[in-house]
Amino acid sequence: MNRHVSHQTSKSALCKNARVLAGVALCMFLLPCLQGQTVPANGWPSMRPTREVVVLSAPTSTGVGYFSIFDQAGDSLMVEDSIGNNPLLFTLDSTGSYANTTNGDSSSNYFPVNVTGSGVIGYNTMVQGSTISGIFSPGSVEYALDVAHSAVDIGAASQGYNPGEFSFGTPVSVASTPVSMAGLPYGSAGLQRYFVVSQNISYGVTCNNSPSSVTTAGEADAIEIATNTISARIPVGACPVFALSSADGKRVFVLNRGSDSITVINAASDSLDSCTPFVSASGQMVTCHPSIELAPAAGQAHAGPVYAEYVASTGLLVVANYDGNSVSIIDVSLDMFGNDSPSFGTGFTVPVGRHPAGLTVFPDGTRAYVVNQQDSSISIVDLRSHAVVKTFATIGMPRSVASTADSSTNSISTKVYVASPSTSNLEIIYNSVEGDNSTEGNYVNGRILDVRVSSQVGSVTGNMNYMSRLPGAGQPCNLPNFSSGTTASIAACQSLQ
Amino acid sequence: MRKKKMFLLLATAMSGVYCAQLCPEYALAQNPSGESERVLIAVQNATGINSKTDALTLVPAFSMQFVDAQTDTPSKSGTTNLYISGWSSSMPVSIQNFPTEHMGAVYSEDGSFNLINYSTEAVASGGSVSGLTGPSSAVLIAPGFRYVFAANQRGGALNVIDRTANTSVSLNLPGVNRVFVNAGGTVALAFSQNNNSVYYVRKLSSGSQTAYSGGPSTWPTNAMDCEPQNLPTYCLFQFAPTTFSGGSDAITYSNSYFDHPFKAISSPDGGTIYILNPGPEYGGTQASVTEIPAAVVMFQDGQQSGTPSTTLTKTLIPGGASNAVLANSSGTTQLFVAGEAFASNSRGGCSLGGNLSQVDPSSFAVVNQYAISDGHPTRMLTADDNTLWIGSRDGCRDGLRSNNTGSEPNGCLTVFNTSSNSVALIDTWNGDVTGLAAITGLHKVYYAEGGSVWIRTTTNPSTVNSGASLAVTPAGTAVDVVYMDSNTDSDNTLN
Repeated sequence: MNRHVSHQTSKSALCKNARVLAGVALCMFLLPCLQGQTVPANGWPSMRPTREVVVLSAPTSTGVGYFSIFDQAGDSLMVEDSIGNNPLLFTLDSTGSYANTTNGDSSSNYFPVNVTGSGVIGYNTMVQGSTISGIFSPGSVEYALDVAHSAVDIGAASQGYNPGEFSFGTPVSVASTPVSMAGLPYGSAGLQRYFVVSQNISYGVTCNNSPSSVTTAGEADAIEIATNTISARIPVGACPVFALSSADGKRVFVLNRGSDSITVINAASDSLDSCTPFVSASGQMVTCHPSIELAPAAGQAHAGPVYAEYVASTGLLVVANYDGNSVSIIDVSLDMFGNDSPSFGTGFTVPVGRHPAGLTVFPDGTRAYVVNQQDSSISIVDLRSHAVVKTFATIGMPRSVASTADSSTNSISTKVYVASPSTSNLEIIYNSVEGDNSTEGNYVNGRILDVRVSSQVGSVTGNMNYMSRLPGAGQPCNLPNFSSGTTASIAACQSLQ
Repeated sequence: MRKKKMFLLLATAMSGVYCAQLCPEYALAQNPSGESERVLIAVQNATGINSKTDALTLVPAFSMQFVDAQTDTPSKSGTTNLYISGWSSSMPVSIQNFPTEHMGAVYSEDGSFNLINYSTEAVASGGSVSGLTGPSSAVLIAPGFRYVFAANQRGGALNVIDRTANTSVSLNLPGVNRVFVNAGGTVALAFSQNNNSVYYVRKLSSGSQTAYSGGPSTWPTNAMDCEPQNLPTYCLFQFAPTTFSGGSDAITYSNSYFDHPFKAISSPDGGTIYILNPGPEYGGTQASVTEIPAAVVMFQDGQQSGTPSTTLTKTLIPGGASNAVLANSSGTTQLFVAGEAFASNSRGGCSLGGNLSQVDPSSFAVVNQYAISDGHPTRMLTADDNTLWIGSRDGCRDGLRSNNTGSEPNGCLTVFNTSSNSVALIDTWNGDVTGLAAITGLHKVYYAEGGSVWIRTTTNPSTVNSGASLAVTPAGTAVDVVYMDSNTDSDNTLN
C-alpha cells in the first residue's frame, strides 16, 4: 500500500484561500448572501437554515476534477478547489463534515465541507491494485467497494492523519462486484452490522445494458462492525444496484434492477425479512416480506429500480424505476414491535418521464422530485395522491438531485438542486416560495458528476449521503447514448463525453 | 381594621375583573406584554427573537402598522420582540388554540409538546408534556388539558398521555398519522396511512381492565391493542360492527364506508362524528363523508352506548374531502367540506383541483361545489362578516389552475362568503398557507403564507396591505398563527 500525498496541497490551499477570500469579499459586497435576506413584498422568509451544497465536477474525462461548495442560504459559491484526475463519485460522511471521492486514476481524495474553506484537502491511502466502485462513509470508519479484489476495503482514520483522511486496508472478501452498502451512521445505537450488496457477476455494464437478461442472484453480505467478519450471505435479486436502510436501521432494502424487485432484509435477524405468519404481541397477524415485486407502469415491460430514498416520517420507500419510466411509492411501515405492518409492501406505481435516474424526497413525506435523464425533465410527485403534479424541463441530462429538506427545515423553505453530467450549470429549484418551476443556475468548473447537501443524513431522512452514486454497473451512466442505442462500457459509462 | 383591608382588596380585585371585561386598556396590565389583543406566531429559523433560532413570538393585533386605520391604532408599532418565555424547543410547527382557557399547545419538530399560558405569556407550569415516544405526525390535547393523543407514525404507535396521572401508553397502530378529539374531549379517534379503518381510544374501567388483563385473547375482537397488557388502562378499537371477527376481516367492513379516512368533525349537536374520506387526494378511490355515532366511540369506558351498525350513512363528495368546518349560511348551519379531486385541465392533462363542497347536514346532500385554491386544504376557519377562510399547501401552484392554459390565480388562500355562497378571493401565489387566525370582532384574519404573516380584513378580503407582511414578520419563517384573545375555542384550525 502506498500512501499518496498530494503534491497539489499547497497549491490547492492557496487556490482555495484565494477563492474563499473572493467569495467572502463578493458576499460582503452583495450582502445578504450569507445572512438573512430582506423580506420582499412577496413574503420570502428572511432567514433560512444554512446548509452546504457540495458539487463534484470535471472539465474532461481525464484531467483534474473540482469540488465546489455553495452556501445554501444565498447560493453563493464559497469554495472551489481542485482534486485528483477524473473524479467518478463522492460521498459525504454522516455528519456532512467531510467528503471522499474516488477518481479514475485509482486515487481517492478527501476534503472538508464548509463555506470557510478551512481544513486540509488531500489523498486517502488506498489498497494497492484496487478498483473502487463505490464508497460508504458512515462515520469514523469508511468502506471502499473493491471490485478488483471482490472485497470491501476498510478505511480507518489513523492518528496523525488529517481530519477526514482515511487509510484503507483490511480487505474483507465479499461476493464479486460489490456495488452498494447500507446501514445507519457509524455509532448508531444498536448498530451491529452493515450489508454489502454485490452483483455476483463480473464487473461491467451488463446490468446497465441488459439487466433483465441476468439470472444470477446477487448477494448481500453482512459485515459485523465489531469483528469485520461476514456473518451472513443473503441472496438478493438479479443485478442489485443500490441498497439503503430504513431510518431506524431495522430493514435494509436492496434494489434489484434485473429482477424488478426489492429484497427486504431484517437487519436485526441478519436474514431475509421472512417468516411464517404469526400473531404479534397485540394479537394482530403479521406477514413478512422478503421481497417486494415492482409492478411496471402501463405499457412498460420492466421497472428497473436504480435509486430510492426512505421517508422516515411516513414509512415510505420511493423508488426511481429507470427502465420502466416510473416511480414506485411503497409502504414499508412497521408496527411498534418492529414487525411488518399490515400495509407493508402496498405499492403505487406513478408514471414519470423517460429514464428517471434519481430522486429526492422531502422528509415530511409530501413530495418527491424526480430527474428524468432522457427527457431532460423533472417530475414532481405528490406522495399522498400518488400523482405527478408537475413536470418541467431542466438542463442537460440529469442524473442526481438533492434537497435541503431535513429534520430542521421543511418544505416551506426547501431548495432542490439538480446535477447533470452534460452541463456545468447546477440547477436550483425553489420549492414553495417562488414556485416549483422557478429555477436558476450556478456554474461550476466542468461538468457535474454529483451533488449533495451536507445536512442530509440517512438516520433522519433516509437520504444516503454516505453511499456514493455509482455511474455504471447498473446505476445510470453519466451520459448514456440513448439515441443510437449503442451499448455502454464501464469507461464510457463513467466518462464525461 | 383587618376586615376593612380585606374588603378593599376584594373590591379592588372584583373591579379589576369587571374592568378587564369592559375595557381592553385595563387588560393591558394583565399580560406581561401589556397587549390585550394578541396574535401568537410560531417562527422557525428566527434570528433576533430572544436570541434564539426558533421562537413563539407575539404581535399585538391592535397595533400593527396596517391599512385599516379604524381598528389598527399603532400603539406599539414595530413591536416584534415579544415572545413566550421559557419556551426552548426547536422548529415549532403548530399551535392548538384554547383562548377561552388562556392556553395554547405548541408542537415542535423536535418532538416536544408544550402548553403555553396566555396569561403569563410563558410555558405553563408543568406544561412540558412528557410521554411522547418520538416525532408525531399529529398531536392534540383534549380540552381540560389532561389527555394528549399523539400519532407516532415512525414508531407505529398512538401515544396516550394522562397528564394528571402522569402516565402514558403506546398503542400499536402501524402507520398512524392523524388524531381527532372532539370539542368536549369525550371522543378520541385515530387514523392510519394506507388504511381504510377508523380507530377509537377508550380509557378502561376497572372492570374492563381486569377482564382484559389476560392478553389479546381476552380482548374484544375489534381491539387492536390494549396497554399495558398485564392490566390495560387503554384500548384502541377499530370501529367495526359486532360481526367483526378480527384479523384481516376488518378490512372487509371498512372498505365499504371508509376510504383513507383522514380527519373528523363533530356534528352541530355533537351526537354524530363526520369522518372525512379524502379518496384520491390521499391515495384512495372515492371521497366521501361517513357518519358514525359519537355514543359508540366514547373515550371513557361506561359512557358509551350502542354498537356500530352494519350499515352507515355515507355521502360521496366528488370535490374531495380532507377538511371541513361548520358554518352558518343563510341562517342554517352547513358543513363546508374542502378537498381536492382530479380533473382534466385545459392542456389535456389531469390535475388535482381544489374544491369546497357545501353539504346540508339535515339531508346530507351536497348542495353546491365551488372551485377554490389547489393544494391540500389543511387549514380552515370561519371569521367575521360571514367569511370562511381556507389555507392550502403542497400543490397550490401545481394543480388544476396552474395547468390550465389561462392565467388563473394559483395562490394558497381562499376566502369564501357563506352569506352569498360565493368565492370572494383566491389569492395570488405567495407560498403555502400554513396558519390561519381569525381576529374575531376586529374583522381581520392573520395568516402565515410562504413563511410570512399577512393580514386581511374580513370586510374586504380581496385587499391586502402591501406592507402587512413586512410589519409582522419576524426575522424567520412563520408557520402558524393563532388569536390568543379570541372569545371562542373554535378559533382554531386543529382538531
